[in-house]
Amino acid sequence: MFLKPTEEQHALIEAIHDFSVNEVRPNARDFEAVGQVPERITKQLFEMGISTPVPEEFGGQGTFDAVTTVLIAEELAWGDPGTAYEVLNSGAAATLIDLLGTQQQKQDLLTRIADGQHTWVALAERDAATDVTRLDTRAVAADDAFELSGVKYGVAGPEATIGLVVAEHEGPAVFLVADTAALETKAEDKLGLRSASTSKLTLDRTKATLLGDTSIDPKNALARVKLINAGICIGLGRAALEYATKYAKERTAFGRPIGAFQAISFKIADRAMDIDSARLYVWKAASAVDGNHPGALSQVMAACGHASKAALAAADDGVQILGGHGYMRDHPEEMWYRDALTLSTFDSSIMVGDPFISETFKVGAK
Amino acid sequence: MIDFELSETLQGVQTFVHQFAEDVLRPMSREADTTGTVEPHVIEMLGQIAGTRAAIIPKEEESKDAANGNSISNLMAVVGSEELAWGDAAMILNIPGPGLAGPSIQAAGTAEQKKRFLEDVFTGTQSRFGALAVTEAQAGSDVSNVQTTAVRDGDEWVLNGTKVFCTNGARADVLVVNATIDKALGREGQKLFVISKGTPGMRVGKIEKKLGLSASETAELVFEDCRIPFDHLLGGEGALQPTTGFKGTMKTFDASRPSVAAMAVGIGRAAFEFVTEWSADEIPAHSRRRPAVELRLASMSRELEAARLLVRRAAWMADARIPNSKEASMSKAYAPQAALAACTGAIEIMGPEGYSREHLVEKWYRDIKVYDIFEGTGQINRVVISRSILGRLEDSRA
Repeated sequence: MFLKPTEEQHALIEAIHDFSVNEVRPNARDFEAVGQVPERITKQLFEMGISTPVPEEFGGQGTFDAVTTVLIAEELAWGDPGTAYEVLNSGAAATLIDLLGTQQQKQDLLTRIADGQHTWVALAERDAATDVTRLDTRAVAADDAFELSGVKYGVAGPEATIGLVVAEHEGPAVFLVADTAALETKAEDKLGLRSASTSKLTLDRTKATLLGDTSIDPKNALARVKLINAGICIGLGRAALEYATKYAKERTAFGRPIGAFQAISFKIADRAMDIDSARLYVWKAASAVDGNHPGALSQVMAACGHASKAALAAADDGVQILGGHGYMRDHPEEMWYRDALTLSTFDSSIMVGDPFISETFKVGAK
Repeated sequence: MIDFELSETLQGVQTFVHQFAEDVLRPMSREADTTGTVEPHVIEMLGQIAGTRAAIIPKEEESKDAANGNSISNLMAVVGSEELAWGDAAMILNIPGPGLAGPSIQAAGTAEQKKRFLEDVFTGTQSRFGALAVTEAQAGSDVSNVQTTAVRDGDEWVLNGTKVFCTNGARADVLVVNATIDKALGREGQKLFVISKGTPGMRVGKIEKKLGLSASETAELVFEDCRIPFDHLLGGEGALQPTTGFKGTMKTFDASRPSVAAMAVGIGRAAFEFVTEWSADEIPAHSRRRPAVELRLASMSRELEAARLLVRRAAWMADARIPNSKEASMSKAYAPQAALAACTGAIEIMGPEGYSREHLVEKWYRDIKVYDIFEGTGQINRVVISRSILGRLEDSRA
């Protein structure tokens, strides 16, 4: 058992934290106003090798394990959850291609991605927001390719030319869309994560090819994509709690800082427990993914649920502790409050029970 | 690298203790609860089977993590405690051993005192018990308000006062008591003292009747001019420095809270596992109750897993010698609530069968409640957590 990031991971966290402090947090309101992350931000994150992890052999700066991925997501989301959502979810295509693609697909696609071509991944659905093993989007074999039909939500960076769709084909499988320009997309005008440019995607017998071949089970690769949003939840919750904590120390009422009242300080203690336990949960699920444990996807889904609950509660109490000020756009709490619920609808397991019961809490589970 | 795997040694402990809990404790659970006592021969057997005497003071070289050289004694305590409490939370308090006297002597005692009060007493062949008496009727979480006094008289201390709610207090061979040597000093005046069984001037008051943990002895202890040797002051002369005593008591909690929280996880897990199996048999997949039950089970399991992670983190930090007051309090504030939610959920899912004494669920529901009270209430642990985040804001009061 060991519960601290490595030196290398720590250095990466520091670098992203600096970026969040200097470039992301101060401008998040502007990103939100225009409804997308500006090119200069996505470009810098690409150049830092953070947004699109491509192996060096294909011209990239190397890939990350799942634990590092969630550390990155937390730190960038601390700056702005919407920015992290757009950049990391669209860039996750590189991870899927690297883990699942054939040698030829990797050569072709990863080289283009390393050159700066943008990507997207279509995963979330209305009825199966969480459970990637029960997708409604279908893939039907047609000639030497597939036809995809279904509706996808929250597709980040939808204008990109390389698009991946997760669809049901004897279990979940990942497909490469043949012609992304021909797709029917509708920009989402949404409650939160407004700095992330996202679309609803309607697939109607959309031509696609399978990424890799049917011999590879993609569940672990998909678990890694899902972990991104869990990491974002932790970063959001931490940001909301930190901001409210600072306010509680400074704001006075009845002659004392409001943090001296237990009605406030106990909320802070409760949210800190939520966030800490969620972080441990997400780390543990990520290590299960890195260790290729058979039940890793179930653990990831449970971790996503715990993390989104922690984020929702922290954002709610964040607004509450700031009171009237929390409701105003002068402070970021109201934005995080909107972001948290948006994030949890994309990715919450709170509404799904069954799949993890047997997996996550067995007698003597490690 | 971040890694949640238990070492082979710890997995071995887990398996061994679980087997003991399943084979020995669980079958006797109902009877012990009903009679409210554990017979001496059972206590003797528990001591033998659990092999606690060997585990009381882990040998340094045996309790290292092979990978990083950290001690694993705290992790071993939480892993074992969870399994034991899964078996029966009250009976395990009857397993001979130093109990909470252990961590308090370890935290505050000199090397010589650790030998005299732990090693020499607990490594013999007889069943021996230790206990920690802190709480008084008017001073629970507000430990600094204890009224029991210790006055120096030559080579002796003279203790006066009354302690309550002391687990194994009546049978303790080694009793650690906190008392004030100078009320004017507030909590700095508080020191820990060791009282041996049968010391004149100490008597047992009432034995409590409780909501749960019925088979565990909870005693009132009265001290009337109780005289003990000077060197029964934990920490020796050094403890007379103004700032040492109260911190000794608090350091005890940093070590004991994760273990107590681990027991809560064990009780909650017992209820969760029982009701999960029960639901599989009794609530068919097509039942209209099924989706609601599954959601409830999923939420119970998530919270228990989160609790367990907070517990293990606190223990891991203690082993790695990283200060863990906040994290110990987090585990202790979180786990009992998660476990209570699991016990409540189990009864609600089972309905009238849940409250029946035919099953153990109703017992677990009674047992779990005290975990949010003893070793620091959920409230005082939230005070510890929020102070460590916010600082001592009260002090800046106008």
